[in-house]
Amino acid sequence: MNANIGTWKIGTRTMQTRSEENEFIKPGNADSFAKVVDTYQNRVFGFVRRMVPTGEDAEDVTQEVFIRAFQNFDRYDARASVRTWLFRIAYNLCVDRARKSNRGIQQVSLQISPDIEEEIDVPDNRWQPDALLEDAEFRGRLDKAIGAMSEKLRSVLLLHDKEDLSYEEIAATLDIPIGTVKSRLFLARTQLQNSVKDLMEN
Amino acid sequence: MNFFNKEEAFDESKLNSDNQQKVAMLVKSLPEEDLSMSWRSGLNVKLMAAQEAKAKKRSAKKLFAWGSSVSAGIAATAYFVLMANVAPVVSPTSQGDSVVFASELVKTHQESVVLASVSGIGSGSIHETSITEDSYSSLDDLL
Repeated sequence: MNANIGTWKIGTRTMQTRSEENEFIKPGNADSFAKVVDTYQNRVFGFVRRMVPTGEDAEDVTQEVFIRAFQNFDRYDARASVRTWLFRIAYNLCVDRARKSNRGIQQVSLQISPDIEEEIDVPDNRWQPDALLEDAEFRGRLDKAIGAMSEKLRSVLLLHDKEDLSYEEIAATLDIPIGTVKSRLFLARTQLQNSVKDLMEN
Repeated sequence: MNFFNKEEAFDESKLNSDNQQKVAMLVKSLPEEDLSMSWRSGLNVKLMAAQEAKAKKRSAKKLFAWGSSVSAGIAATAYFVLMANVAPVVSPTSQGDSVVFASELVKTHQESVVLASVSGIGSGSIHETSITEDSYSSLDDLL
């Protein structure tokens, strides 16, 4: 019974989000597509920028995302989430690019060693992520740690924590079960926490 | 089934721990990177090229469909014209009125029957001989 209510609630929320975000979308219409680009170009670029090695690559891939989307825009089903659709294209292109540059997708074990679940001893009143990110060294380490992750972990981390996609949307984007989304997210956060732990404590 | 098993297998409360939430906030606070106007101009140029390519592809498809229909039409017309020209040569109707032709056949048959019944056995052979002689003479003409 509870599970049904939960599903209904999630479904309703998702439907509302989709209808709001898809308000201006008219498949096959060029003006409508221009609005899609205006709305999502920076978000898609932000995701792609952290999925490919260089900024130049990221700009190329982001353009390719919108060209692919444009080519298929008349076949786009407006009932689906446009951002899920765009991120799906973006993810596939990033993976293709990684394969071409021989950076194949790494298989990640779901086993977590006990030492990476250590507590970070940072008092809550000092916990100011924005302030931390003003430190160039910290930001550099963080970017490097995200870049060092496998595409599988990185994509889930960025889509959930940076782009605010729900578990269901990420599952649809990456074509994986929701349980896998959650476990990858946990692993990704743990890995990142381990990489910057010393800087966060200092 | 596997889908639900995997989902149930992972304890979601782990994602809500303090450490996990801190890292999530950190990722959320990562700076946004905006794209330049030149990037957008470049995209517009590529989109226009893609639109033109799409239009060309569509018109090529239309042209192909139109060409196929015209070719089929020409082929069908040619077939009917050819059949119309060939048919009079092979058709019995081209050799005259079919009714007249049939009545001539019947008449010839009746005459031969009457001739056979009047002259009796033997006269037929004389008649046949005369025909054979005629045939030889015509053969001589040919040779």
